Formats: sequence, C-alpha cells, structure tokens
Amino acid sequence: MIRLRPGPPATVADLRRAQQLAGLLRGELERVRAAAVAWRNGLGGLLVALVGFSLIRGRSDVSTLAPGWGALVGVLLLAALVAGVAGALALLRAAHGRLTVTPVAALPPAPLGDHLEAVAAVRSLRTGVGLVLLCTTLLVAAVGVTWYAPASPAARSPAVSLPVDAT
Amino acid sequence: MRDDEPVSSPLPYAEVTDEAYATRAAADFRPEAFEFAVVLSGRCPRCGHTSTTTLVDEVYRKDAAISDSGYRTLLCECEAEHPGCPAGLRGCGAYWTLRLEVEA
Repeated sequence: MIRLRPGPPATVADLRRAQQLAGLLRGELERVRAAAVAWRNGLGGLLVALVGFSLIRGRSDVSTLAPGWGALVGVLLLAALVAGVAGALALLRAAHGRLTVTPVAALPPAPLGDHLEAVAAVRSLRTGVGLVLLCTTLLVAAVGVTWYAPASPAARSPAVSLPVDAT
Repeated sequence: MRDDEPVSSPLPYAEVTDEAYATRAAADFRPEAFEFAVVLSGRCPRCGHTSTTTLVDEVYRKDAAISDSGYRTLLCECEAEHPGCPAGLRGCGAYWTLRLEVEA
C-alpha cells in the first residue's frame, strides 16, 4: 500500500523538471516508435548490403570441405536464419506494436498505457537489435568457415589426366 | 455543471505553490500502483478540478533521467480551461511536492 505525505516546499526547479517529465511522457511512445523504425531500416539495410550485394561471399559448394565442416556451415546458416527472423519480428513489434486486441476493461488510464507500451517497445527494440547483430555474426562465421576450413581429401587429390592417343 | 467544476469563472493559469497544497493533496489524492508506475488522482488543491498524474521512474531518453530527490513534484493536470495556460501545458499551474511511502 502506498501512503502519501506532504513533501518539502516546491521550488521553480521542481516545477520545470515536472513539466519536462510530463512532456517527455506524453511524447514517449512516438519517440520509441520513430527510433524503432530507424533501427529497423538501418539494420535491414546492413543485412541487404551483406547478403543481397554479396559483400561477403564464401565457397558456393560446401561439399568440397572436409567431413564435418560442411555440416558446421549448415548449422551456422540455420542459426543465422533463426536469429534474423526473430530479430526482424522483434524490430517490427517495436516499430508497429503487437498484433493483439486489448480488452477495454484491461486498458490502463492515459498516459500510463502509452508508457507501458513504450517500455515494452524499447525491450523489443533492444532484443531485435541484439538478434540482428547475432545473425550478422553467424553469417560472417559461416562464410569464414567456408574460407578457412580444410578441404575434403577428394578435393585435395590432384587431377589425373589421361594420355591422349593421337592415332 | 459537473461536480468537478467548483467555480463558475475559471481561475487564470498561474505557476504558484503553497505548503498547504501538499498537505491537502496528501490527504485527498488516491494512489494506484501499476507495473512501472503509480497513478495519483484527486482534486487540485488550487482549482478544485479533478487531476490525474502518472509517476514513473524512468522514461525513454536516458538523458532526461529523473534524479532521485526523495519526493515527487505534482502539477495540476486537470482538463479544465484556465485562461493564460501556455501552449503544450495544461492545468491551472499549481504545483506541490509529495512523498510516496510504501507500507507493507
């Protein structure tokens, strides 16, 4: 239970701080949404640049890698895909909200509802940024493995050339 | 006229405080605890209109973090018209401080 007691005499500095906070609270959700859209666009552009324009490229055929290394590349790519999709969903949730309907009885009074949504959106934004960066790291790791992993014995063996019979 | 309209002619907006405001607000305002916030509702000790204030501990943009001074400053945030109220603000301009004590 919360009990209220009179505080010390208020000063003009208290007034200005309270006015500033009230203003911040009123525009909080819009600022979070705008930040989430900016992060979504920036990270989306980063991934498109890395993957779409082939800024990082490994071997196209992982069957030339030594046994086990090809499977590791596959696991890394799968993990990157999962992290990327989860990160994208988290960023979209931060930028545009949840796809849910709230019962009217559960609606908190304004501006508390917007503040709670802003707190949830910031959490999703942090999660989304972390997951997209993890996705990028996993992609780079997968490409690095295709570069530096040992080749399979079959790929290392010299090619045998058959003599050509001129007759 | 609604029961939260105590005066016929609206008070002009004025940024004023008085120690009696805090005493009256501490007795009249009712706190309601939510996750991450406390909502205080009651009658403004100056204009008498219903005022609701949401108190939070953090707000997005860390550069505007609230310093923990041990008390909270409340403004009149009533929806009534008060002549002279600057754009972007609301209420009659009264302000006061309260301490919130959590009892087990």
